[in-house]
Amino acid sequence: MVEILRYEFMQNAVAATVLASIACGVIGSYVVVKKIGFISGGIAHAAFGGIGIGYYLGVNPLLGLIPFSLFSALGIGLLSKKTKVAEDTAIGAFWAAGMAVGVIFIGLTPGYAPNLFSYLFGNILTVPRADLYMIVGLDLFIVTVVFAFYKEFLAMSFDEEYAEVSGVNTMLLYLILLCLIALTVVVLVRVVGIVMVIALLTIPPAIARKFSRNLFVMMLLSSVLCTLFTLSGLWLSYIFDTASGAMIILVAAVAFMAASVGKRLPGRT
Amino acid sequence: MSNLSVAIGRTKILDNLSWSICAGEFLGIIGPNGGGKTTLLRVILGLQKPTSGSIRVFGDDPAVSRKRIGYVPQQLFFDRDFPVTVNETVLMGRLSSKGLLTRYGREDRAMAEHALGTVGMAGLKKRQVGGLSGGELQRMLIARALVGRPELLLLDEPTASVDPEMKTTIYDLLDSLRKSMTIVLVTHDTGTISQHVSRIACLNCGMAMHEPGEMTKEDISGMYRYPVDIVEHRHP
Repeated sequence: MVEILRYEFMQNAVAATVLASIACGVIGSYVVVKKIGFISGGIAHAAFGGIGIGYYLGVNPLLGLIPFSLFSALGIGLLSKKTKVAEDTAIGAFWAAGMAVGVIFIGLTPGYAPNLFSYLFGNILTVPRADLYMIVGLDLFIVTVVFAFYKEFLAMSFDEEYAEVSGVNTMLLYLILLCLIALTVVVLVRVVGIVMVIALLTIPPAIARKFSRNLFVMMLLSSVLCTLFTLSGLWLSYIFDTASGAMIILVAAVAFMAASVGKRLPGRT
Repeated sequence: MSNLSVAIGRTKILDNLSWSICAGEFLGIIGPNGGGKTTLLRVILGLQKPTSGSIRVFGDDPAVSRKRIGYVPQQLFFDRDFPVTVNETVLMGRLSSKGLLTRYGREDRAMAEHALGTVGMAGLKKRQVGGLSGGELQRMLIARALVGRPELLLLDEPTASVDPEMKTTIYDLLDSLRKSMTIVLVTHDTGTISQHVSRIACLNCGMAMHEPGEMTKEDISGMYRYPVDIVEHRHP
């Protein structure tokens, strides 16, 4: 275990894992308590359009990903809250349309699209240094915004009407939250890929919630759990020589089932 | 409030209401389900815009006056698993007085402590909200409304889901609060409120006010007056 850490790609992978887990634990907690997992899935999949555009323009696909995922987050939020479109309809439309844009632009790009698979299913072993810096920046941004609006986010998640009565612009705050989810998706794409982001955003916080008295503890705990899952998934994928992203999700899913069953056993209610 | 009407979709919820409430009053609002009681509170809070007519709260637009209003919602639709403590929930009552980018300070915590003491829940502040009983939950919501030191307290059926003993506790609490604030109480407790409130309003799309004198004359028939009023409204 120790000797593999000598490789630079492995150091990058571990750093990316830990950094992604911070954003994942913090934002994932909101996703779980506000029950917007499906919206997050929609944002993640729609973000594929950004990757396609990135390829087409010949820039780092993560750079295409940021504006495009923000755009789809705002689109889903505004369409479902400001018009009469049902939320799940808005999500479905953006989900598929984003993917369609991605497929079209990748098709328009001459030649074969290399490591397209790594964006869909994640490949943490190929994270370059430049992406690592971007992840650090996004992490800092996400944590700062959450720190600044912590009490408003808490009030909105717990009791939206009361937050509104207290003068909080809940619509604006909700859109900010969706944008933060979009940025978290960008951070997590490298780790597990856009198809599986939704699991990492929901499983660690869902387990953490069972053991947390308040939201702050839940965030801390889910970040720790997320780190644990991703690192052990990474290690297992090294041992069994399998895809790292899929292994991470599998570890998380098994832990989730164990936690759910364990909680139901007699003596612990 | 003058000539106020609210329609949601094509359904008229409140029709042409004109009334006012004076400082220091304790107004009880009764009426059948769907009579618009909750909508009326939402209008006072500025959550619901009137379709026609106007409303002034403390002489201002409701959105401006919100800070001076404490609101106890009918039911808290929340997830019992939500990780939040009693103390954190009560602190949300301070939200309107705090600016963005600020944190709750020592003063806010002291006020929350005091509000929890007022409703007799000082010992439960570290408990998770999901583990509270119906009565405790209701008192916590009252504490959250009180912590902002409101001048007007709106309560939407605070006794709907509590046992008779807790009901008495809540009414005793309101009796002690009425000295320091104006209270508007929406309730189905037609029998009990006549002993506590200064005026009663019957709301079923339209509204009928009953002055204190009127109430005392027929105090025993508090229960009886209620169905009669509904008939009167229907055939004005």
